[in-house]
Amino acid sequence: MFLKFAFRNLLRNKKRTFTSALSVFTAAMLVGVGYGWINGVMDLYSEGFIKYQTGNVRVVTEGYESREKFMPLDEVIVNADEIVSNIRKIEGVTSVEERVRFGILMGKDDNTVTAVGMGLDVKNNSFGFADKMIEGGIADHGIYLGVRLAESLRLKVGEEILIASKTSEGGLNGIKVKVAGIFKMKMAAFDKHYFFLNLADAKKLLKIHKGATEIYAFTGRAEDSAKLRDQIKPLAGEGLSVKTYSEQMGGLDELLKMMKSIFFFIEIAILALACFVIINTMVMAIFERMREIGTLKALGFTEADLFVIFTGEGAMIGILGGIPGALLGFLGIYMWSKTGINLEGMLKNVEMPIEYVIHPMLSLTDIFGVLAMATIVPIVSSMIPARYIRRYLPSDALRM
Amino acid sequence: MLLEVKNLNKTYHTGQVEFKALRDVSLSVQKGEFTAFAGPSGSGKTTLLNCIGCLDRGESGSILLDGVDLMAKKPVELAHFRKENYGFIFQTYNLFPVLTVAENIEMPLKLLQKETPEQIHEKVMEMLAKVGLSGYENRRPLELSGGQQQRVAVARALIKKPKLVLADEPTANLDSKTGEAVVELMKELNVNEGVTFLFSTHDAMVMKRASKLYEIHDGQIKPGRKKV
Amino acid sequence: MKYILQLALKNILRSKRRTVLTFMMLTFGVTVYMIMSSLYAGLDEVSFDNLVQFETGHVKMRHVNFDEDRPFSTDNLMTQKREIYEKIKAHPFVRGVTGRINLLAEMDNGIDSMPVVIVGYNRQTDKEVFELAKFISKGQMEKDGAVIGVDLAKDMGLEIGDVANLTFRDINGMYTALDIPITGLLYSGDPMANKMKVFMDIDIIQKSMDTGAISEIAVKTDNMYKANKYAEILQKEIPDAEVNSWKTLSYEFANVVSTKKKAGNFILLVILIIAMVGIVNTILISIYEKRREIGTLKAMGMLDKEVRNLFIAEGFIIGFTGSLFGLLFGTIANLYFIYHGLDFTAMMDQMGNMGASMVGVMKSVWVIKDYFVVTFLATAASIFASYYPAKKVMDMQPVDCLRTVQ
Repeated sequence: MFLKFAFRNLLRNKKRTFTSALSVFTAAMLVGVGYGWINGVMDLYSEGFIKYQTGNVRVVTEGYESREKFMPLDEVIVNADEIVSNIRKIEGVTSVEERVRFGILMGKDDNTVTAVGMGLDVKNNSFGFADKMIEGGIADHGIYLGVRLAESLRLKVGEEILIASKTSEGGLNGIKVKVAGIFKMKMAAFDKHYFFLNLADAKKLLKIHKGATEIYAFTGRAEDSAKLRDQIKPLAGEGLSVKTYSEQMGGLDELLKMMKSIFFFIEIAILALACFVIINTMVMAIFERMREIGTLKALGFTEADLFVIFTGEGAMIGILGGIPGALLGFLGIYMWSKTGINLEGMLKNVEMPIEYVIHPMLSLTDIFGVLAMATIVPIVSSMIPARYIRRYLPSDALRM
Repeated sequence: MLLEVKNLNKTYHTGQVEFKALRDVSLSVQKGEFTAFAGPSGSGKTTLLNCIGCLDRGESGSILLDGVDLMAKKPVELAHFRKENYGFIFQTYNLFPVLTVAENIEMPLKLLQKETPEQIHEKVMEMLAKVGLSGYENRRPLELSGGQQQRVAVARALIKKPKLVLADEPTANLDSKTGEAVVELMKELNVNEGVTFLFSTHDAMVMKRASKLYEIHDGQIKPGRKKV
Repeated sequence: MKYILQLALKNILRSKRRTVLTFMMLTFGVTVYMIMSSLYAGLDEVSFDNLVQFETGHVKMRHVNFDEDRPFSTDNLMTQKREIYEKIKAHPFVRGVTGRINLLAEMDNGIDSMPVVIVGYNRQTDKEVFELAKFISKGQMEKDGAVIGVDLAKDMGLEIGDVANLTFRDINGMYTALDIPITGLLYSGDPMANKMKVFMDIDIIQKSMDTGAISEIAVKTDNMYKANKYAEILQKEIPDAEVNSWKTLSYEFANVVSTKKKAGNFILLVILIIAMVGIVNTILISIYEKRREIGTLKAMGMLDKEVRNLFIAEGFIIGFTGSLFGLLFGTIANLYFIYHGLDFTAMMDQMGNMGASMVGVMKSVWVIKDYFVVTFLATAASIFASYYPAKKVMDMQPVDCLRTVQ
């Protein structure tokens, strides 16, 4: 009976009820969409970093880590083979890669550019550039250039170029290589500056006889990284640094996590704002119906009963507006997640290992969270004006 | 003795000023009476009625309904008490515009949750007949005239056969003819069903029909002038 | 009018808790706005000034086919022709002209190497256009020495007095090496410059590269803000070069700043709306609580309009004082940000060049305009917010209001 009463009371002033519900609807939709976005962005970062820069866990020498920005070639993990095959045995590991990176100036004809070369297994690696080749293909030897790197050097598949680099022995070495393929990974950092070649060729160029400078281990999920690191540490031994992706990202990771919690609070604020409208509506309704409240009390309704009735009314407006709004937001995110949103314009020159296309998404927990918020916030907001009912003795209420 | 009021005092504190609404009021009401409090505006008759109906609270004294001291009870308990024992009729009818006539009348029974919907429905129809409004069960209060609304209010007040019906100036918003009809109705119910009525009024026509009359002045019951 | 204000003030002071809450929301909103506005202004000022004094000059001339994607290609080099210089100098608005050359090189400290950008500048004319000296934090520019970015020096473990070894390709594509002592350290507004740039006498570079060409000619004019116009004038005169003002050159950076500004404004709007809704709320409750009084006032002869104004005055007072306090707190907070600043160094390290020329530490500046704009807007918004509920008061009939009296 309470429900019937409450519901009909809502219909009393349709315009007011509608506008209140609408504002909650809008807010809930924004919240749902916003959350999906923020998740998408965060995932973009962490997945991007894991896949293209840090791996889930990386093993390097401590010396390498301290001089990381130079990509030093004299810091080699000599027993890399052994470590790699041991890591492969760990449960949950999806792949392990040995790599060597080196930075050089690449020059052809009139132009000189900075480039980073990476020696790795060109067929099986986390970059997947083999699938992203727009020209040429995988060959036994040769280098694979990022599309913008190729453009700036005006190199085509089949052309030869001289690559000169410092070696791990301190001297200089050069090799002439053919361009076997050109890839487009849709990330500025790679397309503009990277080239790949197979590990053996790289080691020959850099005069690394045994081992590699970096070992990357991948598991399926970011959350498993810490556990994997702990399992790898004993295998690595003295003098080697074993770090997860978030440890490698350092301050950036912290910043992203902080942004997510800030966003959460902003969203509660937005919802609360919408609920201000409910509070408004309810306050007016309560004052207009003071006499009714007195009558109800006279009839024997307790204050608890009345509190429930009025909170129920406000909550109903909120929930009837909020839940559809949230659902619409979810729908939007779902569709966006399928198509993805292309941020190429904005990210074109940002040199971070993240892809241009963002896929906003919501996990089940997030959906639950937003729905819960869309339900709880209106209920709580309704309780605020419902408190006004307490203050008045029935006789006072009747007098109004 | 149905109702006994002893030395009831009520003071209103507005800011720094005190206003004594009821001074040492004592009276008693028997079952089946049709009693009225009469007096000018501000005399305290509404206050007295409110206190008896536990809608308001006095500072000192006692109010015993069937031996139960109302002043000793907490607000929640009073709410339950009102639910079980009292019926109210207001000067401004105070019906719920969002409910139909039938739904308004059945509310006290629904609150008590002691009867089945069928039983309730039967009683509602009965009540409608008694107040002469059969056929109006699905109308809304705002579609009715003042007199009709007050009759619905009477039906609502009586449907649970309360121990005591409190009516605060029930005819004040009605024209003389309608008012008279409503009071006649209440008198009928008093005589036929044996329901005890307590009024506050300054309507001479109502006072004429009262079986017992108290005069109130400045918060005090004037001694004497009781009619049988 | 004054009487109404007095009444309104007394009314507000009666329900302190509610007033304070609404008031606080407005204050909070204003404070946040003040802080952000000053921060952005600081950002703007520093960045553009630095950009102009260090990198772009007011107007820059480059090869007509200058390719942004191949900035260090030797195809971008122009031969220095006396006529061009003279054409430029002929204009009365020109205060200085200078040529620079930019090239990519590798710096080696014996153990490791890093890519750097060498900037060859003309020791006589450069200071007519740029203020290189301003950005030298230690040591100085010398004829046979190099000034390198502080972070570059730190990374490579080099100090003043050490010798930097540079390798680069000359005009013919041959690799050539150069050893040069470090005589100064550079600390500019551009973190990328601090990490990568090496300044030295253009003569040395041109000799090593076996060319007399330059990458760009920079011009200083009498008015930075007229740069677009001047650039147009010069472009017409010299059709076989590309002439741009600093504004055109920095549009990408401006984009970043304006996007952030938009986001900031949006948040501000949300805050303002919240505060306004709060005011509407407060006034509404105020009205319903005082129904009886409204009836009495009207019965006594106060006009509907005047009673309405009473409530609008309430809104105005809350809004005005709320914003005043907001300005106060905002000012105090800004004192910290202006003199101490906000340290973004950690974030900049990771994110590298976001296309913005900012130092690691961001400092706010005073925005006098805010004080007036905010007070006006907040007060106007409060009056606007209280108008709708106050209007209802006009329709209330004395009789209805007074019916609540026993």
